[in-house]
Amino acid sequence: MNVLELDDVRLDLPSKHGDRTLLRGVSLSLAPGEALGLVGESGSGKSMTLRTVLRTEPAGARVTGRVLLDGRDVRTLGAADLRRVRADAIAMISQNPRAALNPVLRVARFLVEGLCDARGESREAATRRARDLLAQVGIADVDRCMASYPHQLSGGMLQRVVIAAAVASAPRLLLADEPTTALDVTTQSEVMAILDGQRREHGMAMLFVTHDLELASAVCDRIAVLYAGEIVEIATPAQLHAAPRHPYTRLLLDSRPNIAARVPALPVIPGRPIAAYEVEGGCAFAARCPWAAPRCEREEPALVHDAGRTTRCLRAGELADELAGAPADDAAGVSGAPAETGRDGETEARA
Amino acid sequence: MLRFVLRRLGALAATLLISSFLVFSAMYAAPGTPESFLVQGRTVSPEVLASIRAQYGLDDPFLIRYWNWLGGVLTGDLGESLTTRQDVASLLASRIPTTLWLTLYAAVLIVVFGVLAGALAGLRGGAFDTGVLLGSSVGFAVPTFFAAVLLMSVFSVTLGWFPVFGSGSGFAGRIEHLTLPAVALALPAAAVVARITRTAVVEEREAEHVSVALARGVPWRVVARRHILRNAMLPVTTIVGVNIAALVAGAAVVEHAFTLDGVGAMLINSVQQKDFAVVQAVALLLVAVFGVVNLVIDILYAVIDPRVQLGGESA
Repeated sequence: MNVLELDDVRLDLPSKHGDRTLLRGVSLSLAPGEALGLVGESGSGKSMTLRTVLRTEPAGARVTGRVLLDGRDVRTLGAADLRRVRADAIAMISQNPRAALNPVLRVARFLVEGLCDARGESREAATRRARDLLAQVGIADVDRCMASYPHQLSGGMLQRVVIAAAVASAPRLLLADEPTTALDVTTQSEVMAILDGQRREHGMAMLFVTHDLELASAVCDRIAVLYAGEIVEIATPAQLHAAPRHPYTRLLLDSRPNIAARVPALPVIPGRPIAAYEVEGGCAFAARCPWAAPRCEREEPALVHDAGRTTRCLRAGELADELAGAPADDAAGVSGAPAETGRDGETEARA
Repeated sequence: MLRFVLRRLGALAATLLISSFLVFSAMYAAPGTPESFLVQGRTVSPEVLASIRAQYGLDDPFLIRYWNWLGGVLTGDLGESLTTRQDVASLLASRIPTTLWLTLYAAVLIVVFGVLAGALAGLRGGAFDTGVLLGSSVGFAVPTFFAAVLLMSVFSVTLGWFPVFGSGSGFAGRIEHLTLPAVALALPAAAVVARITRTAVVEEREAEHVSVALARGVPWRVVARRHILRNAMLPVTTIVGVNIAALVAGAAVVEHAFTLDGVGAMLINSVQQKDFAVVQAVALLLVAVFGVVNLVIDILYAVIDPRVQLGGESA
């Protein structure tokens, strides 16, 4: 059985200008011990997807669909059961460790609290395990770290503390929301390695949210690409890099500059990312897609599972060969893309 | 920690010195002279007037007078009241207990009701929250003197629950006599404290570490106590401290209204009678109390917020 299964999860957030749809039916599954990357631009709904799992979505949000954790729907749990699931089965690592810890309490308090107050373990046992885990995540002076206040530690140290706290309860599922984005570049890879190591060691499944396709490729078994509140493609990192099936994935790969070659202008994805609530029929990506055909504006593509690949594109079949290939080979084709949309923009302006 | 306290005590001494000068000179800046009060409108010969001026040292240069007075204050001699000829220090000592009890009582009311109401409003929301917001607006808007009269007419005169005047003796007697004055005195401050507490709690509830703690399965009551209320107490401590320090001055109005024989009532009387020595002593006492209360609050703040580093340098 899958650890986690999201089945057509939709999220609407009421606002002054009427309801805003943030997720338009996200479905995905996570096998035990598997790491799944959720990749997309800001506002694509990747963090919101994570939050529906822990039920920490903003107040007033309406969520439909099912979120099954080991076959049990998290969305229908009562308060006591939900608290138990949060304490035992799921752990979350958020982007900014400095905001995750209470600034006026010592690190030891934060670590022990998740075991004592949340799970009813004894203070001694909790303290012992907290110390062990701090050592495991590479903290040299455990005593000093335990006795420190958050403001006395660096961001990298704090994120290690958060990782230690997350794995302390031996959860089935780890939710990581851009865990290295707020850190220095030099500590990013270190923290990522620790996170990945701890995950493998404790056999936890992980839903890893990032905007960094390369990072996701390095640590995840599969990657789900999100656009405007829905999944447009799911594939293994190898498949994705060798032959992306969705135009958006292709452009995401290309927008990552090649460090081996200096280019006159960095490739960018034309247009601006749209939010889920701005989608009006047809393919959500059609407006920015260099390969868009007239029917893309009318017909809404479905997520199609075909030969081990999962894609949401009407032209996936026809474009398969064109989208495949290493980014460098395709450089000419991509640099042409912005120009094409530039023309589109003009036609729109005239119309 | 010790260095911090010592430094703050030094600053407090400097504040007192400066304010003693201001207090002393302010009396001479005000219209009217002490000897004109002493003769009480009677026509007296210039010789008598001169002898009075000589007796109180009113002919000495201003700085000399200040110096003499300061020397007396530092040795515990606050001078002699112009009206009663009594020693100001002992006069003050006899008045202090009433004011002390009154302000302590009011301070307890502020902390208990102000902080409690604000915290519950912030945590619960809903109708209770609206009630506290409304109540605090009313409590803040009602002038202390009006509140005193209102309380007296309802609870003393109509219902007969509390005595109308006097400060009572013994613990129970004091509580009985001081309840209405303390309520009147605490009302505006409790209203401010309730509102600030509510805002701080609501703000703290939105903090990311609070939602992180909840997402880790920490029970709500633990999160409310350890993460929301504790952190919200940081700004509340300051507000409570300032309001309690200000009570000593506000006590004057209430003591006057309830005819209590406290320091505040003494201040009002002595100002009206231009009793220099008493006014100066009371004013200096108010400054000292304000400074000490603030020092206590600062130390308390450093204890509850580890980010505050005492003394500025490394802890």
